[in-house]
Amino acid sequence: MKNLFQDKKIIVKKTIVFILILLCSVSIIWFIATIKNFHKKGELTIDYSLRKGYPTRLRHTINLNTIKTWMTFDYINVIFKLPKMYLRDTLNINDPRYPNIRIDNYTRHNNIDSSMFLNKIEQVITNYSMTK
Amino acid sequence: MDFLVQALIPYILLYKYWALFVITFLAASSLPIPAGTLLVASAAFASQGYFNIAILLSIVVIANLIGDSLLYWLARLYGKKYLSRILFVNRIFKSNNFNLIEKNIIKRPGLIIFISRFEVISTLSINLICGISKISYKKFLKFEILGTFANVLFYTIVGYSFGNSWQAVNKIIGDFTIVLFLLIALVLSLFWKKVITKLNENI
Repeated sequence: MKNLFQDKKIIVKKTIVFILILLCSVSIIWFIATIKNFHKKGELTIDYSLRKGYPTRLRHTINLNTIKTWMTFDYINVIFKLPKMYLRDTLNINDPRYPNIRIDNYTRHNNIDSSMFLNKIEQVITNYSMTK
Repeated sequence: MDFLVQALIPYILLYKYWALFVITFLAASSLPIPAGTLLVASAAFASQGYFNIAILLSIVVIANLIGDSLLYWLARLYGKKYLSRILFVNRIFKSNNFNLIEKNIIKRPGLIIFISRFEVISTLSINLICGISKISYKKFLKFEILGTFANVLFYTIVGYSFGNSWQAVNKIIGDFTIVLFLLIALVLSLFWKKVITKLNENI
């Protein structure tokens, strides 16, 4: 009886070790694939070199596709270096909370389609960058 | 965890340093919030000019120190009294392995406190054990300051350097944490007896 119990214990332990080895291998492959994938897409780049002192400008141009609905107008103004009231004036935003309001909050309150609104934002930012 | 990060980042954009302080404090004191991931994002925002990096660093370090100290003192004053009322926790307190870990932490708290700062669950557990074991607060604070500063600096440098790639970096850190946990579990399951013997020898 004791031997049977010990045998069972050894089998359980071996199974756990086998599963863990399998999971480790899969996760390591997954991890390497993730890094390779980001490199391939160019989504993993060092933007600032700490050795060259304090950064003064963005090395890589921020892609307009990076604009997401969870972002605030204030944040968009900063990353695209827009004047504080530019988006408010061009997009006719009347919300008193501007610029500290999330895009999805604004579109929900005003019954605007968020993807269309994002396109509009991208358009006005492109227009602004062309005038500069 | 990804869901949590996506839910919390808009609050960091909206309420800036206040949100950073509150989230970091909550993560340090009790809630398993992925503060490191959020710090990478915040440091990336700082590299884009949205935050001041020096203020960000100071606020995160201070919030971490206050949160960790609060959990330590709560565990020290009320930990054993209240937690032992929960049946499974009481069993853990009375187990040989817990006593062994407790004795090892009491003997050499420095390295354990320092390393534990790099992972949210281990930070919470070690703070609890340090409080319950009544390790001197001076000793705890010394290694807490060193560990917190190293941890905050690491995540800040990563977030600041990678800037616009912060989402990719967070995904890589998340995947790496899973790999690390699985490897630790594998090593422990293979060498459990040796680990216990080594811990016994250390006392």
